[in-house]
Amino acid sequence: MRASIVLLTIGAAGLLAGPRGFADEPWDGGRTVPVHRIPLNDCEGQDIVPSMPSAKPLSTSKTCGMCHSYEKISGGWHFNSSSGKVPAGRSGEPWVWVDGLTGTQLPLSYRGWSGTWNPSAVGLTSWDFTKMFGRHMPGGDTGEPADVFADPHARWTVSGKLEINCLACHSGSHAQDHSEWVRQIGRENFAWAATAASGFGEVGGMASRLKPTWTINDGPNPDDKDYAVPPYVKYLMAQFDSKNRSVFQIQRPPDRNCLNCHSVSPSHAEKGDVDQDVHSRAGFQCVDCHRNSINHMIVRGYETEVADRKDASVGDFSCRGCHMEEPAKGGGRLGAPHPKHGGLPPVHFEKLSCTACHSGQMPGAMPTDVRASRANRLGIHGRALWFTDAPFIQEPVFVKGSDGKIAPHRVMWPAFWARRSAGKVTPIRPDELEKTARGILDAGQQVGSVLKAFAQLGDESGETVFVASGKLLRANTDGDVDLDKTFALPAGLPSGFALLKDGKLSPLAPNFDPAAAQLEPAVESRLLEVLQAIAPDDAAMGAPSLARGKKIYTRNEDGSLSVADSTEDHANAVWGRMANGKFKPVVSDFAVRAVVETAGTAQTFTEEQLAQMLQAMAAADKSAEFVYVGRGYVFALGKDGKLATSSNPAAEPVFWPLAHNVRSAVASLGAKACTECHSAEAAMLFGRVVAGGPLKTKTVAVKTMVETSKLDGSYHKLFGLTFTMRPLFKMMLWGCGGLMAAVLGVGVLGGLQRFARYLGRKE
Amino acid sequence: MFKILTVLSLVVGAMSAKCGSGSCSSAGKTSVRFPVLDKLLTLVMGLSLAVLALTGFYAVLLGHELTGYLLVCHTGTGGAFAGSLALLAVLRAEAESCCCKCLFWTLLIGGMGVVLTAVVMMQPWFGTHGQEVLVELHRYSSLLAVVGGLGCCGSLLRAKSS
Repeated sequence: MRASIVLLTIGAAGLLAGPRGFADEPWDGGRTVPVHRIPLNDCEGQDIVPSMPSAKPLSTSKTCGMCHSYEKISGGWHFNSSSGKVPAGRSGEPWVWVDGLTGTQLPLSYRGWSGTWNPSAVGLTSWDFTKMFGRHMPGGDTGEPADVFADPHARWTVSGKLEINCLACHSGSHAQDHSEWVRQIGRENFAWAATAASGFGEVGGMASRLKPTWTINDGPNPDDKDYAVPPYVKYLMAQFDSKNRSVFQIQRPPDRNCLNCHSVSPSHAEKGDVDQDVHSRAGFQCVDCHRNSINHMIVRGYETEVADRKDASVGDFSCRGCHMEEPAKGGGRLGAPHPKHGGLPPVHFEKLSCTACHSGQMPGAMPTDVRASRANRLGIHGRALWFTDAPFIQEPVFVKGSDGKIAPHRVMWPAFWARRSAGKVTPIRPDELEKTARGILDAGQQVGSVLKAFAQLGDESGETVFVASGKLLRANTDGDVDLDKTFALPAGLPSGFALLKDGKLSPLAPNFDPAAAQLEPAVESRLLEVLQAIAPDDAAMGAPSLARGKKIYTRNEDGSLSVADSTEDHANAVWGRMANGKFKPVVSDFAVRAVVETAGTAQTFTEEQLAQMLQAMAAADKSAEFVYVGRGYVFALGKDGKLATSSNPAAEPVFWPLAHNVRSAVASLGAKACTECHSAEAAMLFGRVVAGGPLKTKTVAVKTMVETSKLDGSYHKLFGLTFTMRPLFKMMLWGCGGLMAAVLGVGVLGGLQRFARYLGRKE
Repeated sequence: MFKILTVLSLVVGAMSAKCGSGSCSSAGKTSVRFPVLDKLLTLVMGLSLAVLALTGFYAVLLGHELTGYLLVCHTGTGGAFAGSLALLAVLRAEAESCCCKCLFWTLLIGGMGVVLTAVVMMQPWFGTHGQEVLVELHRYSSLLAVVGGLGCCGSLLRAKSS
């Protein structure tokens, strides 16, 4: 009886205990990946019946977690940044909060890496962070907060948690769609994102449009089938068997999945011109070196990782671990060739990391502009263009790392608006500044919106463009303007809007004599048509008007054209609006100046806009001093109202080491000649790192690489100069050595001769 | 090990300088063909050897690396040492007394080792291990050169003073 009770108790305990995670048991030695034909489970652990219209999305914690310990996996490197429990290790790429309107590029990291801001310190909650960066996160981490009610603005109960998306990395299916994942994150369909991205089902609806009281158990909204449609999933039935099981095409993470978030390529390069990493070319996969066990603490592969993690086994997969055959560390793995390094003094291995010569772009007079997946939003495909040129990242910049070795890094100069108090700057969230920035920093959008309005006129008469200061600007898909560098403008062309057709520019409205008593009917009709295009939605903004000569032609609400006298004489047509009896151009001179100055450059706003923005911020809040951090300096308004710049640690660049792409041995730095590094012009030492950023200014910080490497520039110039004499020096040494050898040879022969004579005499 | 040998070499060199013959140079025997040139070369060789020993052994004895300005100084002086020693070798091949000859030959053998290892290190012939061996050879050759050099120069000074 007692035994029965014990057995029953054990059995009940076994049933009540959650999934055992039996796949975590010791490996049996089989080297194949088992077929994962399994049922999908929802967030409550219930088997999903895909044919049911109310079927919930797949929950990875309840599906994958049935066999693999979700808890252990959650502690992995990709999912533990916000936990604060894991040593941060060597600096890595920060998340970058980019805002085009305010010219913000703020490096963020929960890991406390040098030069980064903790997201919570700049007011970002887990919800904000997940919404902003979930696009390139594999789920988990901030996507699974312990308390969903901690942030009153968060909508976790509507969106669901963003669980770890195991399939983002482990799916071998070609239907695995990162872009779909990004779209679902944008719609706040967090709990549906993994299902949609995996291709198991089609997800519709938008959690972002729902009331905050909606939950996943509420189901469809019968009152609104067009706008506030709750997220739903339609499973693709062909993927399920009669037992509602589906085959998960699980495999070791293929490179294409890693590269969704870890691609880095030169900006504006052609895809075909970018070489692969030599390891990839040799058939390696990322996970061959970047390994992990069930704890998902992926080997990062840098030299001092062994010490950082207190785990000797990770040392095998650094460059040295594989290539230098250090038996104590079990190195020399994966058939890695032992480098010869012919003629390279061993001191180089004490001073430089392996990556210094072998990784990244070859150093030039200036580092190469690159785009990175997470920072520049790469690899998202669809109708919209997702990628951005900001933040401006460059590589390689040689920096002395925490291990004392010089290694190539990527660099980004922070740019943000901030409050300054006692010399300390605190970033301001860009969304807080949006209202102030409208009308000051959005010059391109002001012109773009007018061009878009004129586009209503149709293509028959041509494309409406903006011409100013010899530049031709066209509307782009982002509502901004792009400079058309290919078009050669005729000299003396007046500024303003014009029509471009068949390579020829013509006025938006036909020429007419403003002094004439009456307009021709055709002219009047065209004027009304054009003015209608720029009529604002809000009549309070004024009636659309054209100023020409000493007249102002206004389109009235009834569609008639009225003419009034102007106090100014407008030699060229100026489109604008009449409000309270005053004429105001649709694009102010201030905006035109800003657009002309920034068009065709990587920058988005000018010093004039910066000063105006600082004035507007100061007017709105007199209690604080406002500054802009960018291009390596802090910009503030001086007492005279002019811009003043100063240095500040917050304006210093943020660096993180790079390791890929690894170049071949013959393409490594110094393979051709010592003078690639040891010369007075060597890019590796004297390359200039110019602070990039959205502000167009002449006050730009510049660092040479000897500064970032903490080296003595004068010495390296001198040492480099000695290499100009090196061939002659070697010839001289060979000559001297040869002469000494010859004398020694003669001496030895003479000695032998004497010895022979001595022997002869003795006989 | 190398540190001990360095100290030993300096002691042996000093002793040989003290005990060596006073006729080791142009100041002594008349058989030197170009006494002025010989004197000049001996001076250059002695000074350069002193600079080389200071810069080289300073780094080794104090556990510093031979880098930076010390390295530039060491390398530049190395050229002067190689040139002066090679010419001295030609000038003095037959001009020394027995004791001094021994010291000179020691200097010459050590100097040749130093020069050849230095120049071979600059060629892309040897990998990392080979480079490390060459560095060791360079160091040990330098000990030999220092013993010989101290002896020769010491004898020169003694001859002058006598």
